[in-house]
Amino acid sequence: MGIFGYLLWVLPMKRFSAWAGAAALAMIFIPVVVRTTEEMLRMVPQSVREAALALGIERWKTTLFITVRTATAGIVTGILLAMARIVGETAPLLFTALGNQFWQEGLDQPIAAVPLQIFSYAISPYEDWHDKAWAGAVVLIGMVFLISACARYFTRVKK
Amino acid sequence: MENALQVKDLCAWFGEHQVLKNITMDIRRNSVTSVMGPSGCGKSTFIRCLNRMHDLTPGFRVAGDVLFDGRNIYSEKIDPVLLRRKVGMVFQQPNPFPRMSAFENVAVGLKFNGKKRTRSEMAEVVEKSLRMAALWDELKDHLDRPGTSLSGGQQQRLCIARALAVEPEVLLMDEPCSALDPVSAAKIEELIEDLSDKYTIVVVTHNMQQAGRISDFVAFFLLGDLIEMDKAAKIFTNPADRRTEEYITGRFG
Repeated sequence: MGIFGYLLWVLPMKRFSAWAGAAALAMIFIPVVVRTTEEMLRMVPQSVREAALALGIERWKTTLFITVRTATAGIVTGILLAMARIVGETAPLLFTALGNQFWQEGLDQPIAAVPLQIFSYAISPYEDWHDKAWAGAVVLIGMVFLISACARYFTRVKK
Repeated sequence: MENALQVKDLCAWFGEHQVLKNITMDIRRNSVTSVMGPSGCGKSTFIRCLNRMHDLTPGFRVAGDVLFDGRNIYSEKIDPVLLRRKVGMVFQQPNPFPRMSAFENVAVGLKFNGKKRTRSEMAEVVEKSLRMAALWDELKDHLDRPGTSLSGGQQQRLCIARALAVEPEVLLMDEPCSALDPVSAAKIEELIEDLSDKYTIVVVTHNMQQAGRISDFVAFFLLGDLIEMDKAAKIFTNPADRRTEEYITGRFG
């Protein structure tokens, strides 16, 4: 995926950039989300759709407002799983976002990313940097945890 | 006009398999018509033809006319969406929308049918519909509870209220009591009788006692044919056809 992103964006733009990194991650993210969303929509029972149609609700409104709403929890979970997946991606970013030790000047410049930073610290020869890599990993896990907790909170079933 | 629906020579197929054969019947306005018969005789298929619920079923085909207010509902000019607002439906399994409160469940038809309404108008319609469905007193303090957290009987009445909220003229009910306990079923039956003052109701049932209690007219189906249709009292005391008699006396079905 990284090399693909490199060919598609980095070479034509002639520079590593945040955009290229985002695009590479999106190419991992979108198919996963689309597939889980499709699966979740399929799991909505036919009776729910029929009930909406029998009320004289147009088909597109039924799908958009009733079916999707019924499947919200599943769709959000799918998005989260995909996010958790790409949050830790390092390889695609190596070839696209590259990483940046300095002040960010724009999204068309190379950009730092937590997994990239962990990677560069982890392969360094210094004990001190290794410790920082471990700390980075904790931060990463904390972020994933935070995202999941928020999503669980917002999609909870009200009792 | 006396008849809410007139069905003429209605045939229906699932693929090659013919499930309804030349059904012709009139459904009287503001009455309860029961459609009775053994399983697989086409009862449910028949009432689903009356509001075009089969439109999305692959391989399904109909021939013949169903006149509603004198117009054929299968003509090109009829929008099935508008038709279904006039001809509502209640299903066998109570199917309130998950992830919606009881209030939203009733309001949802209004919310999506185009006309703008204020919050208080909505609340008014919801209250009216729930009262008609004999659910208001039980539910008025719990309107924000999810529809799916109610008991089965309450869910079914919620579905009836939901159907009533869009102000239909005809209410089709596909075995509305068969998934419910006897007490809840009795409540629904009572409700059907009350509603028949204002609405034309078509009920599918294979429970003969129920058909006898609630209906003004009874239609008896067998293997896709309409065997006989008459006043309920006539069907249950002196049916014209031998097969009807055998069915109601419990010799088959």
